[in-house]
Amino acid sequence: MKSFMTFVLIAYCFVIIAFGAWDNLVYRDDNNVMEISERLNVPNTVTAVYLQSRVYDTLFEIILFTMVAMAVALMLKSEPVHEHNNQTIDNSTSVYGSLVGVLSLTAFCFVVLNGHLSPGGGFAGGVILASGISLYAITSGFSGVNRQYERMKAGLIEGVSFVIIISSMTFAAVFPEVFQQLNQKQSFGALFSGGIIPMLNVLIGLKVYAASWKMVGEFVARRGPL
Amino acid sequence: MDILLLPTLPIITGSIAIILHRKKRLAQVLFFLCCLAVITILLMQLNQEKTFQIGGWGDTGITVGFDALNLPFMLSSIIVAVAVSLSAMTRATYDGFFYGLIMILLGSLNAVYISRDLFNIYVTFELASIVGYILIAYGKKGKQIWAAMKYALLSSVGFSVFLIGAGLAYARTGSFSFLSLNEIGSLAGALIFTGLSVKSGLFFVSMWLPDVYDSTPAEIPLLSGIIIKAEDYLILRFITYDSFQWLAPMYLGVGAISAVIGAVYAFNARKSQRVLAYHTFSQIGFIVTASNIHGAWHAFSHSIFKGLLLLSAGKISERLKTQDLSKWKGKMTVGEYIPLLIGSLAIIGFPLTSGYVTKGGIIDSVPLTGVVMLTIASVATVISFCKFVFIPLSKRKLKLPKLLIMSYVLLSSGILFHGVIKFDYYKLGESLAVIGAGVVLYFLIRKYFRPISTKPEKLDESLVLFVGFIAVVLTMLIL
Amino acid sequence: MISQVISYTSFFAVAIGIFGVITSRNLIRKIISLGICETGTTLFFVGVSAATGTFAPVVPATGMAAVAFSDPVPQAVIITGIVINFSILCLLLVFTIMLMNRYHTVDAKTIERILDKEE
Repeated sequence: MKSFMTFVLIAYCFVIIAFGAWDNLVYRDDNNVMEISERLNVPNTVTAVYLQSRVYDTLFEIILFTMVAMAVALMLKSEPVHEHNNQTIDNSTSVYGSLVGVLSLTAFCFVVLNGHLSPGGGFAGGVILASGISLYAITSGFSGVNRQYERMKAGLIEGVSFVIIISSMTFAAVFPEVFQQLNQKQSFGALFSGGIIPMLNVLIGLKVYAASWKMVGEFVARRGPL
Repeated sequence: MDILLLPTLPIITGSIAIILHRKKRLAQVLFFLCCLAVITILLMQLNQEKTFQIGGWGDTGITVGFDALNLPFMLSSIIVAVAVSLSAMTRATYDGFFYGLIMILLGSLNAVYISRDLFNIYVTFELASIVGYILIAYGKKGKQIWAAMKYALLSSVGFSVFLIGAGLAYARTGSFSFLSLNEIGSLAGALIFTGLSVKSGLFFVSMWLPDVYDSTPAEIPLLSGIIIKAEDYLILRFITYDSFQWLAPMYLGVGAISAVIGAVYAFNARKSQRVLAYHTFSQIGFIVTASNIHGAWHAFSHSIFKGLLLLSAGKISERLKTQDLSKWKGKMTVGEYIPLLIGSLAIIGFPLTSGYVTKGGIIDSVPLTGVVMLTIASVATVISFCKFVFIPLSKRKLKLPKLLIMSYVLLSSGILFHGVIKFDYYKLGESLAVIGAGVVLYFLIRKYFRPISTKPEKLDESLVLFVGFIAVVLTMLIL
Repeated sequence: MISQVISYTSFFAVAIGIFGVITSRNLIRKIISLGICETGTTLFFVGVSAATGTFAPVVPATGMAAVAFSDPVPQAVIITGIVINFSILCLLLVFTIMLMNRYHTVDAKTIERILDKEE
């Protein structure tokens, strides 16, 4: 009874929205791609939009993502942990897992450093690296990777990069002319052009990777690996 | 440029407090410094009105602005946040993470209030909502987690509908900014309004509210309340644009129905926090019925007196370990009763309180059918608050912690200050008549009170009610 | 033309997602249906961006003639949306783990019945 009523209501709303949206989605002739590209001297306009003209939104999103990762760690702190003792490590699978990890590290470096020249950027690169390293960790032992992290002092790097991202984004939102003039001085299409956009892409990629890794690590610790 | 400091300053200090979350004293000191700075910047903007685009980017950028509709909401959120943290300092279980979260909540709500761009509202409001979910589930009890989960599911469905509306608005006009909201057409307007109405505290759509108020400790519902006010600010702002004018009878209808039904549920309920939750439905109905600047000032006074009521009733129910009002006879002390009395007088509209001023303003500016329903709702409010006021007291003396007394004094002085400054004689007779009628009716019908069933508040039923509301609004679109 | 096709597919996905959230009994199914609904809104923004053309908005060299580029603003904006949706799904899964540890079930109606009895 309830599912029938729900189905009728949702179908009714769908029909009304479908009829109403027809004339909103016609072909529009204007696009401001050339203007954005000339004003910022950067080939990829999507990265330019979310890192220069709408940088205020990206600032909130980075804060949201970091805060959710910390909140997940905090809330799961008091839940019981699964024992890792009977994780079966198959040698051939772990070799292929490390191969995938290295390939994803290379892909991360390429996508992130070329974020302003071709489609890509910080977010895509962070997701690539997180999937690759998670696959490596699932097949070769989670506790080893965690110990490696503590030796490399990953927490300190995360905090410092967070502070740098927030301060440069606030600066870019409050004083936008500084970065636009910096962009104009560099050549178009070179690897080191685009002002602070490459640096922000690298830091965002590392931040997205770190937060996703923390969340995946907490979930695997509670449920147990394969 | 200086209004951009209003959201970024609390967010940056909140992030520092979260990263160093073991140092509680540092977090508390940062919180009070940050509130002081925000109030100073806010009072410097007092009579100005401005709108500008960040970076001068035009349509591909973000617009921000400040005008007279923002002021009561921003003031009330700071006052409530200070009161909550003063009261939370008396508990030892909250570490620095809690104060960092309150600061991030304050910063993101300030960002909602100054933003004039549809997608920016989505991002900042989601940040505020996520902080809300984490705060509701902070105590890690089963009931609180279920309440947070219900809230999160309902809110995500609502915001998906909002995003579809925002996308349609962009497809027609080519910009997300509020300056082009006059020509986005009625379908996009309908979807934006219904998408945002989930968190607004109206009766049929926000049925997650009683569970959240019921199960959490005393301070958390106040923070959930300031998130609701941000939603009501958006509803009040959107009605001033052309694409939303056809919704005006809907505002009147939904607001009036919510006001009456909320009060009826409230005088039948038995547990104190549930009574206050149903009264939130009723008062938000008042605000939405009068969708103009009077509604905005009623939102300001509602945050403060509802905060005082929730804090005092919550602390009493925690000390007595029961929320059932019939078991409070003879156990409340005089010191705990005074804030409850001041809050009840404010909500029933007694003269010399801020509730009298703002309710009078609303009843003046509403058409006739609205006045009839709102008067019925006011009488019902008086009936149900007689339950709180006429409880016999005990003769013991109890010493309350100093910080708790400071937060009660802060909120009560807000109510009395606002009430005394703007007092006028026009509505004196009406309000005394309403109060008198309510008291008489309370003594007549108090044996017939029975709690109404809570079936509409379960997860699936509340989602079905929400989809039904969308269907009703879209039907109004065709007619 | 392609813009309308993508947009109607996305409306269909959102409708199926909301239907799934309401009628599933299992909490994990509700969360997956919410994921479908949010992917639908992502697809809708891609459809809005395809209204001005279908070439990727990457300019190969300065001083070129304008081609039918797709609109970069909705694409940039929905990257933010994807991240936010992912964070909300993670938070909901954390709540599910905590509920599972306390009540040993992921069935929504059973949990509500247990909570009603506790009062």
